[in-house]
Amino acid sequence: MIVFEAVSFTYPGAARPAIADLTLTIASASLLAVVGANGSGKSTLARLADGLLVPDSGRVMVDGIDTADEQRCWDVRSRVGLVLQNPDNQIVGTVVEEDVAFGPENLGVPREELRSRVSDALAVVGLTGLERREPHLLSEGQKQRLAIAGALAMRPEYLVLDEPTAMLDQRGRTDVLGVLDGLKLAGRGVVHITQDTGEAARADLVLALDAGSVAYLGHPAGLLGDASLMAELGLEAPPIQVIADELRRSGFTVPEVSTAEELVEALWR
Amino acid sequence: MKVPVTFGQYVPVDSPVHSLDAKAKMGLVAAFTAALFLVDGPLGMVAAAAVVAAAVVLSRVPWRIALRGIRAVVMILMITLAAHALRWNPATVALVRVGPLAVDAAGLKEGLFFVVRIVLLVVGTSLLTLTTSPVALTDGLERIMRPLARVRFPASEVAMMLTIALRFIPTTAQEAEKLIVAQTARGARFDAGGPIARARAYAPVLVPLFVNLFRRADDLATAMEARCYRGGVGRTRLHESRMRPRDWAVLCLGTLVLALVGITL
Repeated sequence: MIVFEAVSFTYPGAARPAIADLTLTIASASLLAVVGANGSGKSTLARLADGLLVPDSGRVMVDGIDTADEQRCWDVRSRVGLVLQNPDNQIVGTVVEEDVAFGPENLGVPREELRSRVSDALAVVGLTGLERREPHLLSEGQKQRLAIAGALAMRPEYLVLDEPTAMLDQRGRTDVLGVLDGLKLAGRGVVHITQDTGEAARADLVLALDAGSVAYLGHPAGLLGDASLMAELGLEAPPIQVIADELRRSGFTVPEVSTAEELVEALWR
Repeated sequence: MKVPVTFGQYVPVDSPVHSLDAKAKMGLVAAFTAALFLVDGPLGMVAAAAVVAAAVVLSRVPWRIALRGIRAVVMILMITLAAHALRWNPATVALVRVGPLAVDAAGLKEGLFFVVRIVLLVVGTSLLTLTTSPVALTDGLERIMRPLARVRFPASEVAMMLTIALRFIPTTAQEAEKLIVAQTARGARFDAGGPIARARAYAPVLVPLFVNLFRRADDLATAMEARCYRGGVGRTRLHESRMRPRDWAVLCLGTLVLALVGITL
């Protein structure tokens, strides 16, 4: 579990805190989506979970380790993988397999194990066979999956992704989302930060941030069905909500739904 | 404009020279350079030239490319030749004389000796980058520099910097290409005017390119930290090129031959 206990964080020189009095528990084998407008503190949350930033007050505990404990900061970072928005800016290696190996190399993993970690991570993201490919020859979706493989090769318990699909086309997006679902099924705790409420609808739990505080925490349907809260948070309703609203306006009785499947199910009844 | 997939000078063909370990090649280049400066007669130069020629043929690098490096030093060659060959009112018999300036046989011979030395140096050493991929070169460099870590030279960090530079060359080239297209679409011209006007035309490309590079560097630092990078201490490596018996044999024999050439001729 990653536990945020009344965490506040203010960037040096900033007028207001980026994260204010946030309490949150991130469980294993679950998918948590984090939504919110630009500057609502989503990226700060990601960096706090990974120990790259340390709270000003309150504390973040990763599997019982305080991220403020400098002695154990590498323990924290190897437990929590972080993937950023722009895949190009986080690939270090000159070929695919070397990039995947970068994290475990830093952990001092012996060479025989490096091999198996690299091939396992590439298999999870579906890039097997591209070991010797140069990163700039990959598609954007492949690059982002490579970045995920790089984080997975450290065998983390949790994976935090900061808008991983923002720069991808539909196909790349589908591939990356599929990888995230697989990770959750494999028992990892996945935190998916996104601007896309349609993507957030796939999560078990959604957290909406507003100016660094929790505006909503619960099942996706509760947020997506609340048009006024959505508007207040500056979030755009996913197409499925727009359709549900239109149906309601035309006199159908439609309960709160978050995915196409749920809507179809509701209409069949 | 097409972004080259392989950059630098590397000629990707299969040859005995290409398959030689980078560290062995670096050792041989060092030995060759030393031998070239120890040689003090024309016979030695002929021997050194033979060594270079043999290496070029073995490497399967086309002669046109192997000799390309000479173009960069043409000015140096001409100055060298002139400095040695031209004499002011020589007492000896002049071959050519223009007023007080003259060229005599001894000076010409001396000048040619130095010119040949520079040419061989350029062709011989460029064979290293022509036959070794940048990645292999970086790995080899790190291994060679590793003993310097004892005197606190950050060998592994320098190698990491080189690797990152290599990694980002194609990415930056792609970005520059995009920026050129974007600025051209806004009416910028990169082909008009003299050299200064043309250089100025690139400012609207270079400024955003640099701004983006800094942004990339920030992101990359975060990503590297998140993946537990903390310098070279305690790092393991997925690939580490090892000297095979063949590499040792070639390095030792080659150094021996070059030492003989350098000392005796």
